[in-house]
Amino acid sequence: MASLLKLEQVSKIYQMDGVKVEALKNISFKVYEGEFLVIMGPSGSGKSTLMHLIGLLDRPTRGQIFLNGKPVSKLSEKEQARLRNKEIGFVFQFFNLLERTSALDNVRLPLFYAGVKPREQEKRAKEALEQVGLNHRLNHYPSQLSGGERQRVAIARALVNNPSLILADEPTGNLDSKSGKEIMEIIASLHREGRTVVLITHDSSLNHYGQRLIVIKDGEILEEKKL
Amino acid sequence: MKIVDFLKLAVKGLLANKLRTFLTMLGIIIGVGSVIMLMSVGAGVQTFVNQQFELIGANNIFIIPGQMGEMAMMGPGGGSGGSSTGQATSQGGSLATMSTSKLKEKHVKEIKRLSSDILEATGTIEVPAKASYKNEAIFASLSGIDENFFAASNLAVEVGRPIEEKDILNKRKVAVIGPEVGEELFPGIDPLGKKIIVANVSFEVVGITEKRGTGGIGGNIDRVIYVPFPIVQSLTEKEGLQAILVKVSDREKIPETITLIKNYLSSELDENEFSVIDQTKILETVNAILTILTYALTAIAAISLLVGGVGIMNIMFVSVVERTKEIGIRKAVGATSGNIRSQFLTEAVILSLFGGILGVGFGILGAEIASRWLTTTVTPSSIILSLGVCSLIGIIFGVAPAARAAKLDPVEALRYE
Repeated sequence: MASLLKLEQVSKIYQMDGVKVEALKNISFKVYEGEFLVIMGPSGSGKSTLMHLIGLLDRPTRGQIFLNGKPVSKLSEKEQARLRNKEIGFVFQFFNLLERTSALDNVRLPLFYAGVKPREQEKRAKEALEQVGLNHRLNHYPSQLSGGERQRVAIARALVNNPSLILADEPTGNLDSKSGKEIMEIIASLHREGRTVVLITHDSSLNHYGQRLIVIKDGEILEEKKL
Repeated sequence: MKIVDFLKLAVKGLLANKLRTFLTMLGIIIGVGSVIMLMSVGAGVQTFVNQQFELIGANNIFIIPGQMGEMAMMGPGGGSGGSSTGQATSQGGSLATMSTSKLKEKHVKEIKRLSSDILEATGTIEVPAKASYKNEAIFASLSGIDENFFAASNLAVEVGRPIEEKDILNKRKVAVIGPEVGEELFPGIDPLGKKIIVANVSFEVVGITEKRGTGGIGGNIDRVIYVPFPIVQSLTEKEGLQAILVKVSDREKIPETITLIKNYLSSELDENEFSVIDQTKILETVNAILTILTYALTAIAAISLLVGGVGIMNIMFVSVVERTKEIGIRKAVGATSGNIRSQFLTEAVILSLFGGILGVGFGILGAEIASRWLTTTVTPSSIILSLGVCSLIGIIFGVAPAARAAKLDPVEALRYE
């Protein structure tokens, strides 16, 4: 299987009040195309840092990240924005939807920055919302939606531009167990459709959705195993 | 991403907080409004002054006895060159020169022949006099004129008839009075046909001149009594004319005509026995002063525009902080820093430009209201200038907040609550 994402000796060092904090230490691993990878770790383990690096929201201090075989860590800000737009779909713990913006317009956002024509934006956003079962909530604002529904809008936004990688950071962390289960089912179904999914969580009960598990602690890979 | 997309985005962003958007624009609205209004008043006053000069003879050349320096020309009565207005002469100096005036009627006739550009030439004598009708009595100027006077001075006889050639030849005791004379001597009565006593001579009122108002430049020509000049000559027992008024076909022809007149008069009289003046210099000076005044007032108003710009910058900074999360989200789904910068810059420019458009509206409204008391002219250039300045202000004061928004680290921004 070809690797979609590859991390090579990646380190991230923060300067906090003059003190160096090494959040990630020489991390190396691969994510294969079509795979469902779970990255698990307790809070403070460096998993959020890892997600930011994979999602091209941040740059590693050392090491290299490859996406589709190309080094991406040193790309320009503009190039990275383009890759975030086209190759990566984020699902965050706190949904991160635009307030005062309808579900439909939230989902349209990546297409807007991709330069897709408005009519096409609307069509594709509607399809994505339908896929997560929210076609009856198109014009609702986030404040009018339940937590589970908000997360479904976020998932629709993540997949609307057909990215190669869905990056989910504690997607159930802010939901009750029932909604959480529904969200995980949707993510699992996306994987079954052939999408590559990386799930970052501290919750070991989600492990069974994945095919492979990487456990990190104190910025290092503790364990890596097939599930 | 097209400009239209950013426009839509910016408008949406601004509409999300309508009250704040309006309050932010208020600074610009007031600034532009006052600039437009002040410029309109400035332009209006300038037009008004020029019209006034036109009325009292921008095409006129005045020849007066004695020497008159430029300083004297700038004096209160100087605008009329001591020609037809009583106050100029009753205020000192000129009376002495008048008594020794070497300007004669033959000069008037000769001057008229000097050039085809000279449309009219007319001599006047003017003295202060007491006028009475029955129990009413006032002080006014008694002006001896010939039949060409009204044509030469652009002063219309509104009621009745002017002084005519036969009046001069027959030394008829007829008078054309200024409207103020009419109002004060004949309250509620039609003055035409009535006899007034001026300097112990009885004159029949045959006409009333148009009202010019005392506010104009050139003294109070509403308070003059015009009679045939031979009568005034015999009253004062002086032959010299107090002024010769020359009307030229075109303002452009004034300098060369002045040279012609000077050359002619120099052959007849001594250099210090006459002065030839026109209003060009005065007009230029007054216009220059008005222009400076307008600009000064506009500059003061423009300060409020600057304050409005700072207000925009202030609110934009607040907005960037408030929308940190939004910026983070946008960046996460693929917005470049450039996209974010354009979004906020567009918002600032729209704020400023739309405020400017509203300001122009209010400015025109204000100018319209002010036009009840003042002459106002809203010039297209002032509108274009204001809107241009507004766009510039939007860009200048929008750049810093937009740059801050663009520079936000997406990780930090997403973490912001």
